[in-house]
Amino acid sequence: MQELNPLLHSQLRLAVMSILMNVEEADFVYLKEKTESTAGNLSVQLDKLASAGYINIEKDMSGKRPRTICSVSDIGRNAFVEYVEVLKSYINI
Amino acid sequence: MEEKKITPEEGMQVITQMIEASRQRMSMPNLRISIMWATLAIVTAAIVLTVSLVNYTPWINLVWFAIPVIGIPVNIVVARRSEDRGGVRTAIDNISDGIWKIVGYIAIGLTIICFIMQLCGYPQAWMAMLFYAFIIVGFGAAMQGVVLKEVSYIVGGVISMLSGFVIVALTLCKVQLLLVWVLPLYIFCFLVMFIVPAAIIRNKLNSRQKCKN
Repeated sequence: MQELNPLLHSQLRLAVMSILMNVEEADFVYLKEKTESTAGNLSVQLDKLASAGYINIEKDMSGKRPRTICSVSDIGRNAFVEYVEVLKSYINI
Repeated sequence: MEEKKITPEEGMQVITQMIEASRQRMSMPNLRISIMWATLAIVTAAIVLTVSLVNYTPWINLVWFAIPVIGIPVNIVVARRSEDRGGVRTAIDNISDGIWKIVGYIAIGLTIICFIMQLCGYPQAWMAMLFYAFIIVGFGAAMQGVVLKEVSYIVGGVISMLSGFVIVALTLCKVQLLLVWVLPLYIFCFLVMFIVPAAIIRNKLNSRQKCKN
């Protein structure tokens, strides 16, 4: 049986990718709220996903506050689709 | 949630949970901007109609410029506030924005054409703005309905487009268009294109929220 992508097979990173697969882009606050994670942990996991090229991170200013916007890349999209296919084979869907 | 290893079953559960968590926002773009434009169009038409019935003067038509003069700055402020609040942006948001940007650019282009026509001695060219309000805005509302899968938007848009084509036909047949029925029709079309669908969507969201609770 094919191995599950270790980068995606982690609760928080998978949650982030699942949200980003559904939307065009989401900001840090939205991801933190939906995943119920801590800012520090989320930040680390986002960096890991970005380093793998799975997500794009843009930083801009919203008024006077900095804003981090994340979106899934083509590489990330393909990896997620592949991950779901392998996951299905594990749980026999 | 934390950074921890999970079983395949838990993985599937996480995916399902997150899809569910981001689903409600996916199906609904910001309605406040379209409600603002519709309200502005309705109030302006009501003012023009009332003043015209009391004491008609051609100058009253200048009130129509209140729509862009008030609408554009308010649109910018509302859009910026939504952006400041942050959150998420979906494909539906992008498509809706695209539709209304096109409708807006057509309005700007048409206004310029009408100004030029007026300068050339054809003030009746401003009638094109009336056709625009019924047909192009109606098309935008119908497209918005297709994107949101919201039938009330499609019905409202189609009613407006058909009303617009009737007005075009009457104009071509040189039948006089009377304010006393054209403006109430205009108000009715904006109500069914924007206000009614927004109310229906709000009710749907509220009942969905109640079901969740």
